[in-house]
Amino acid sequence: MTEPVAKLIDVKKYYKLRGETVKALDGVTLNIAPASFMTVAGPSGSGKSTLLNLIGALDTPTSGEVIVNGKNLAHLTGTEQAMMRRDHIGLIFQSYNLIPVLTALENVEYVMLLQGVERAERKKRSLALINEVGLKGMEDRRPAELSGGQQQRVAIARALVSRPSLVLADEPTANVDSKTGGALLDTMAELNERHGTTFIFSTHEKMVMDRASRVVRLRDGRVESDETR
Amino acid sequence: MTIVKMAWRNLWRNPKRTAITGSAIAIGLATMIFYLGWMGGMTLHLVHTMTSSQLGYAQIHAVGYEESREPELTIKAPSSLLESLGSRKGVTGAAPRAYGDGLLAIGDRSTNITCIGYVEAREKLVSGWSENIISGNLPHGEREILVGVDLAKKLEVDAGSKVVLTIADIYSGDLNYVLVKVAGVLSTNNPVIDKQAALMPLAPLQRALGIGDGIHEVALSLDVLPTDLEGIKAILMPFNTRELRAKPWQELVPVVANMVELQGIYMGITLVIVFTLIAFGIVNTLSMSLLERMKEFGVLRALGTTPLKLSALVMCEGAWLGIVGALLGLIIGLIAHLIISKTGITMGNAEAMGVTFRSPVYPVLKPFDIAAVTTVFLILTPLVSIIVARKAGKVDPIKAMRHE
Repeated sequence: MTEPVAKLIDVKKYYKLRGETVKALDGVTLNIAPASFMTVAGPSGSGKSTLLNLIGALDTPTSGEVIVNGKNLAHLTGTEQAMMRRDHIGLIFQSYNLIPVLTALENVEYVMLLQGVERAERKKRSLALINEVGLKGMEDRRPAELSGGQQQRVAIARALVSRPSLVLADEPTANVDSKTGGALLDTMAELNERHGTTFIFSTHEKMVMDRASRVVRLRDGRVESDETR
Repeated sequence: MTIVKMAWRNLWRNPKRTAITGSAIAIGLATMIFYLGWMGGMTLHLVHTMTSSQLGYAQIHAVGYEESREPELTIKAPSSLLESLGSRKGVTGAAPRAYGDGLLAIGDRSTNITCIGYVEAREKLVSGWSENIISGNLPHGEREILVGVDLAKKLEVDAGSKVVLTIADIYSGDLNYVLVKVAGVLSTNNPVIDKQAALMPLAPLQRALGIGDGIHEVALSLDVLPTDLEGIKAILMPFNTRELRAKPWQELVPVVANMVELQGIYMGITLVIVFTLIAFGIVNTLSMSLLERMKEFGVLRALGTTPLKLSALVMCEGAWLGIVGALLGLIIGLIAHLIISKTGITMGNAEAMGVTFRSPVYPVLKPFDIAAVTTVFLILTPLVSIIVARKAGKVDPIKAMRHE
């Protein structure tokens, strides 16, 4: 049996909010197979973003275990978690979150810069991905000079350039029109097929759910359904 | 693309703020460069005036004279001493002098004075009094004197005036009254000379005092820098005997020597004060920048930037700020120095350590001092940024990304 790229065992995440305990995740157990193209769906406050933050080593659970690429994230130091994100996890955000002072090419290169990849190799790989996401000729533009959809394509290239095993995309189509959103999904599906990269989306958009091979629905921090197509 | 390049671009995201902080650094450094030059010029002016107006680089006295000023304590038969000084390597001039208290009177005006007997041919190699005559000429005969500018004003005399000089024989107490002519008036910037001295040829003063061929002092000019204490001491060594004491000017006027030595400490304290004020500006600029870019810092952490690298980015921004400010400050400081080097700074007859600053003070800058103060600014700016850099390193990605 193939080793899951990410594994959650009875994961709970509780917050204190104005004296009240909020159960963002309440006993979630999931196995995510390599090369999955899955969505985590659910209404606002259902725990989608919290789940992605935990898998992305951006947050720590109150209890339970989060294992990514065979490593229990609870056992990693802050710096080791940063390296885990840098080397194994690609992140795509709803509001793109590109670095405004960097060009499209430099934004894509950034993670490889952290990895210490040689300059020529960085440029070669970044340009290839920029071409793949359909932004050929726009590599020298800064984020402010790109449309929302174009910025999200840069973000996709940035998430994939370090060849991560897992890409976490938090509502990646929420800030673009449906046509652009569809095109972005096409791009990601193609990259998923070509590179075998696992994609996990958080969404409440039907269009995204329709494209996924697996849909996990959350409600009140619990898994309501887990449907594989 | 490196962190250095990224830091540079970040610096110019808010050009106004960067310009204000960079200007503060620049003004601070330019002020320090100006201050260094001014202090250097003041010190040189002070030392030069003191050594060239009377003191010389060193003086030789009979043992005990310098402390007591007892007129009986003379250097007996000074010709052999002057001869050996003439052949001593490093000695460029040796001026014998005698001192005596006297009274100078004209009409109903009189005042106590110090008579200084000197030998013009030797004195011109040490004190340069002859160059400071502002009215009249050098005394040509035994009955001619030079008087200080303030003394001349007090007695209302000028070159050509005749005055009565009264000097007592130090052994018999007999008073010697001599009618002398004021040959000239001199201005030395040394209040001791300008306010109360009458300069006259050595021989008549020796006779009036009854000290034979004895002298009270030999002032020396030496072939070393006036600040080279060890060099001066080495030249003087053979002249410290049972009968004689040879002292460098630093030991004769220790207050001035200490002031010169303490100058480095004053500069250090000033540098600390100036930089502390600038440091507040740097920390404020970088803190504001961190606050405004909190979300971005969260994203950078989320992408895998380690806390250390994030801190390095902020420190790099601080370093760039320092480089820009220091470069600007260096240019402004050097331009100001060049301009003031031509015009000088008039001190309005201010007096310090017994020296009157009548002529303008010209700044003196050593390349080492410029390099040192600039390096301090370049090193301290990124060091101050550590305060903000540490905060940046501790950014929690989740909380930071929620920041708007």
